[in-house]
Amino acid sequence: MFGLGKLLYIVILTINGIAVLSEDRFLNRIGWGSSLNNGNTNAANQYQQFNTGFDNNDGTSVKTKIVNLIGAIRTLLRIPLIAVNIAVIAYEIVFG
Amino acid sequence: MYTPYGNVAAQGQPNQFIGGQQNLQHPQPQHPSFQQQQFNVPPQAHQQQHPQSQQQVPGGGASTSYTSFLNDPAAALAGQFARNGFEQSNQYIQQNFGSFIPTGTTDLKYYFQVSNSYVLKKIFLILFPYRNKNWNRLSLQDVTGESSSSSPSNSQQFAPPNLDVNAPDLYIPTMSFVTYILLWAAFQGLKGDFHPQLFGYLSSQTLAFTVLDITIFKVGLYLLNCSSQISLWDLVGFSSYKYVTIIVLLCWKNLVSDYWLYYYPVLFGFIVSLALFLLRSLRFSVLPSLSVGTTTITSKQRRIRIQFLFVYAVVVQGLIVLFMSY
Repeated sequence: MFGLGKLLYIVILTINGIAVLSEDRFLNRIGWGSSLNNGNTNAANQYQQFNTGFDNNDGTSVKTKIVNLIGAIRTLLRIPLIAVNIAVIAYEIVFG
Repeated sequence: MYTPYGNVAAQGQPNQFIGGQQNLQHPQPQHPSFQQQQFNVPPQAHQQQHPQSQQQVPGGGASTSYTSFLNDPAAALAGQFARNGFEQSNQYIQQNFGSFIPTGTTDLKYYFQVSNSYVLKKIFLILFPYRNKNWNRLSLQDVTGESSSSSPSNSQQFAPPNLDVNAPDLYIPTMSFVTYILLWAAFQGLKGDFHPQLFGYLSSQTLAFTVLDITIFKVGLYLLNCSSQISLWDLVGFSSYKYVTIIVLLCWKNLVSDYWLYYYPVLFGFIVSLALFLLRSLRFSVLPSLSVGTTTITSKQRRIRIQFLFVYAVVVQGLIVLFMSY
């Protein structure tokens, strides 16, 4: 039965799936690497961020948004995911 | 007069803007012999402070450099930038997470300012949205009709739900959520397979669907780079109006007819009504309003946004209604 517990599993597994994507083996090959795209325009982006406070203007297309999202999840959630995964594994070992 | 601490107190006046760390330290006795001793065996921290203090004792050079820092145009510019960015980030936080902070309860009070006529009109609007002409949310000035030109910053404030049918509320969603769970349990009880655990299962399932629903819409808004004028509670309200449809469908199914020839036309009719209601209501959040015209989008972007809105309002909501009224 679909419920909040299943939803939690779905969220954790989805974030794990995004975080496990390899930058140089997979993402760069299909052109979704965050490091390749932003390397050139980084300085301009930073200037714009300084100017407006947030980067409202850059990345209007859906693809750049997805690339940014994947990059952000990979960098931001890597360490919390370790703790969450350990907790879930422990729970599953004891009660699952 | 020999006061070993007095020297430090006199020194502290010109110093207190420059070396904050020096003020934090306890006053050290500055005997000539002690000072000598410190110079001979300088620990690492003192090595940096002592040349400073030695310089500042003779003149007030430090305070003049501070005032020149204040008058520096580059510093003023940097300060302005910092303040600007801070205000923007503060506004962003208020817009997105302000509802979780307990001080923002006035935000929630807005959604419960409902009246009987509003609730009736809104339920009728969800079930039969074909008669409504104007779908724009009224601003507060439209309703009160006064102080239109005095405060241009308040132009984004919307009228509360009891004054505007198109405003989202949270009264109907919460009530219909509870009603849905109780009604489902009651119909299960009429069939003879009621169990108290059903309440827990159902509320968990319904909440999970709501979270999933809002997540889909939020991710869509992010990916399409929509300027989010819509707050999170607005989204909760709009995504939870489908319980009204589901309740009506449940009643129809259990009280009138379960036969597919009578049930499915009603089902799809109500799903289409709900989809139309959501399409018209959520339009202002996805597409920028035509009258403002400050943020122009290309026709391609517009088409993608309309497609996304269609998929959300028709396919996602339809599937959820289909599943939950089953």
